[in-house]
Amino acid sequence: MKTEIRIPFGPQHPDLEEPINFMFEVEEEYVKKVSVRLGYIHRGIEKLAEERSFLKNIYLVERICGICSFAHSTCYVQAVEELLEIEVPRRARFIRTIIAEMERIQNHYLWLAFTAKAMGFDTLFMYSMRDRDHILKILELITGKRVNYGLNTIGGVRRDLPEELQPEIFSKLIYLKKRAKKYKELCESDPLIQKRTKNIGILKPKDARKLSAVGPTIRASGIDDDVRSIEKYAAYDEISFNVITYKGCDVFSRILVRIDEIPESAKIIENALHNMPDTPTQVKTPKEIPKGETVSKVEAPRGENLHFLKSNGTEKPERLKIRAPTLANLTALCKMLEGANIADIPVIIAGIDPCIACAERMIFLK
Amino acid sequence: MLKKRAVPVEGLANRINELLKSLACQVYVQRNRRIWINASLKHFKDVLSKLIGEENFLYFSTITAVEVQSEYELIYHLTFAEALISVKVKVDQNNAGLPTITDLIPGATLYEREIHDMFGIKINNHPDLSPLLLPDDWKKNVYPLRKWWTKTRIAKAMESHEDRD
Repeated sequence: MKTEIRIPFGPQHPDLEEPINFMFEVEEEYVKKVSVRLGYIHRGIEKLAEERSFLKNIYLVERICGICSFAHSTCYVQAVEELLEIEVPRRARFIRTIIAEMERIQNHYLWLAFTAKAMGFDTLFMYSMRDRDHILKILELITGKRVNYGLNTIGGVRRDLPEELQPEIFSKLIYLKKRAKKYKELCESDPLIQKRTKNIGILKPKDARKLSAVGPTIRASGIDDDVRSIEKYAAYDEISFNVITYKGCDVFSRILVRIDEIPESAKIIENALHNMPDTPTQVKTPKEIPKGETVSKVEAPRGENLHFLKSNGTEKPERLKIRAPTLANLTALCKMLEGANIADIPVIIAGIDPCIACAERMIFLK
Repeated sequence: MLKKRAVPVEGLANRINELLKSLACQVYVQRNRRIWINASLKHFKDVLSKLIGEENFLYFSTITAVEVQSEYELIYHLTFAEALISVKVKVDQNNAGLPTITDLIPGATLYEREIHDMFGIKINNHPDLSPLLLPDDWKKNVYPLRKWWTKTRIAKAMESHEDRD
């Protein structure tokens, strides 16, 4: 007789980078049902935002997540700028695009490393982490920090991108593109990676739509959703790029989508650097933000990032709502895990690039 | 492919006006790529089901809850190829709740649970409303994102809770 067993996975687990809890109902070796529980790293950000000025909130939203911090701050300042009805200088929009794409490259290298670790391929983990450091170095040169760059401000960016850094950026980008090509060849030829990821964690395009998955997760199911091409924020209206999609619907396709996005991002950066306009980087803005409400969206490395901002005419916002991509992908993740073999659970979870700190934002710091 | 998507927002606004004629709701264009709809509690589900049947509907983004004086406003954000459509519904403080939309959009499950946790808005017929973000021993009727629950009040409520244990 078959009996169902319940297995908790997390909040503390060697394969999880951040605390989250899944409860699996298991029959023999296969997962029957999944339920998810969040709340282990909830920090009160939405409530805190209501107590701080619009300017201070930039640095608060940047700390939602260390990996996609720039996506959050861009999304937030775009919302404030829309309420103020100001036009951001073109050079600032180009710099935002460049940093956003660099963030995407570093995120994808980090993700590749952790997915390799989840597969038991530690050599790839080491290589990928080493290469990620190159892009972090450039980010440090431009902004002064490796994470939480503090670059965005209302009305532009706080630092210019100096001309003399360009040769170094170009040479690093060439190196990173070369490595990405190498990793793609490796993934396509290595039997270990193929066995661990092909036909694992299937998410059919129809389900992906129904469960409103976003970012590389849905692009690996053959649907070309990308906020950069839909919304055309920052400088994406002036720079052309390809939206990468794969039709495999499995973890393998998710790997390929992300690896292919690395050279594409590098191309966007090169293009933006060549066409940098010569305008100021910042405009002066009034302190008081007019009444109103607005929704702002950006494509974070993990998918669509949405901020809703409501102002009541004072120095502090009435409400700031943040929807990070991981929360959108969690329902889809539960679907992928249904029917999966227990041994495949870590690699499927790694496949959506979960960032739990993003998905949760609010509990009290006493 | 990118060009195909660059359709002006007015076309969609007109189509939606036509589509929702019988449902008595206001449609207005805020700016390029942003459309807002005010719907009544009675009709909002019909509005949503008509909208997701539209050909250019892409995916459901999220639900925002906002406290407005004595009421709550729920905003359903739907992404279309041409624009982001936000449907506003008002729920009063007496809190009769509102129906779930998970039967229309399964992807909204977690968002509804989050709103239930944070604002205490009742969601009727939802499959599972167990706490998603708040701890298991969180005190009943403490809804952290409501304006009345300031930080000090919450800290106090949690203290009395700890004494009781």
